[in-house]
Amino acid sequence: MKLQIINLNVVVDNKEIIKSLNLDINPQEIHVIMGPNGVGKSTLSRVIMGDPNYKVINGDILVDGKSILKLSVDKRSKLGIFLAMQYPMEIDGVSNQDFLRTAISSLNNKRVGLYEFILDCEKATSELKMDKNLIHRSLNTGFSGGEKKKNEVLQIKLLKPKFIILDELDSGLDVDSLKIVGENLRQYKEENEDTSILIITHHPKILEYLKPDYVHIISDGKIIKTGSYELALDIEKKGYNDYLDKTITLTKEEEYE
Amino acid sequence: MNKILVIKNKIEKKDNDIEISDNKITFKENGDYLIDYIDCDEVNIDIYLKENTTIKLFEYSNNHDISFHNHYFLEKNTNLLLFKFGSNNNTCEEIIFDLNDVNAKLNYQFRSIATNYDVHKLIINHNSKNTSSYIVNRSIAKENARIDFTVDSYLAKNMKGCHLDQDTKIITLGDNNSIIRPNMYISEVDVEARHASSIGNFSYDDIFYLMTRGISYQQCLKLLIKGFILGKFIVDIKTREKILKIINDNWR
Repeated sequence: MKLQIINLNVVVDNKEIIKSLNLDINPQEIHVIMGPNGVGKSTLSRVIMGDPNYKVINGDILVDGKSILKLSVDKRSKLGIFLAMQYPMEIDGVSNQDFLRTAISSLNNKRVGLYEFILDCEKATSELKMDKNLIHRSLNTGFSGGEKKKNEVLQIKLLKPKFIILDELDSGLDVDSLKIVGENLRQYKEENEDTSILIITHHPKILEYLKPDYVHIISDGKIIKTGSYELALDIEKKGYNDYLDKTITLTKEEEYE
Repeated sequence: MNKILVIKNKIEKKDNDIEISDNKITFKENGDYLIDYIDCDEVNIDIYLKENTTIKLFEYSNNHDISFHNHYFLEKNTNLLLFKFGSNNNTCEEIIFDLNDVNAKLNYQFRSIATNYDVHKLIINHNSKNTSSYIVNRSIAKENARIDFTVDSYLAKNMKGCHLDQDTKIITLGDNNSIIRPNMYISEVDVEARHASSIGNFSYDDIFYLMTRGISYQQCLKLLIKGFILGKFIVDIKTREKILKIINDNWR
């Protein structure tokens, strides 16, 4: 799946958060978005997914050349887009199993058999070293931070998306859980090599498992620098200030010129 | 599970370990029972729990218009777990619970789908020390339906060591107003009391989360309704299937 973001401007609560943002993600590619808090990283993930609270006032988002702006959230998911959330919702009463079976059936347009589902689930939960009972409990209710994130990866393994957005999936994970989640995602990518991934993160540790093709720094709603994996390592060492200051200097120079 | 049929407002079937006279049911032994209300329009039953009994009671009603005036009497060291489901055209009920002696415990789990106008009045009288009531109502009002809940818990002076708990939630799927009146009339300081009430729609964030997994809005609604009605509602498989059928028929 090829995803193109063209000159995108997005408004939330009458405030412009994304400003003329451009980004192309080709099949198989792994892109990383980094940046300080509050610059529009999570907004970008919500707008790709089609959250109606985020208004696109200019530009377009294309999947394989076709605009998806008019598609509802579930239709975008059916195209193969998956958003692993920073804070997965806790939904009391809705069992994880019922939710997953409904989602798989919906994506495949046919009711998934119970036996087949149980086998797939057991394999995936075992690979993620998850407590098997979590599948029978209410969706994410009472799950620890790590269990919630593993449950997001479980959904990836079962729903098999083609374009994955990981919105700070690594936050709140201990070292061991991060390793398990990272290895499972790497395995998924190896088994589904056409899948492209957009990683939103503050820490390059997860990138040891998912080697990125491009790293972008976002500030004030737009991409201000694009580089390779080394850029993420540099940010880890030095922080964002160098890059943000350079941008400001450049702007002043431009003004002077 | 022992089944008690109430057909056209009359109790039709009884088991050996329960006593029935006119419209009075007395539970003398521990056990699980189901009361199925069939073709009823005006139900008036007194239900007694004898000392030291633990009863898990399921009540199911799916009728046209119905009014309930049931009265429950809990004696010493009794424990009533009452799981009640109703989906009737119109419902009007006044249910009274009398917790008459020490260590009488009531756990009332009510679920309903309102299609027109439902009025529920619950009265819980803590008539003795060390009694406890835990009232949970979960109701869904369909497009034009209205629901009116009044929950009155009474605790007189000197009835020490009691526990009163009310928790009522209404999900409104249309524009009509619904009402919850959570009242606690407490005249004793040695008490543990809590109440919670809310009226509203399902959370936008919950629906968004489900839709990001390819589930349509209508399917999300059905999933959330199922969770709201059947989550933590422990019923036998047949009753569960009957409730699921009502949900599936209402939200295709």
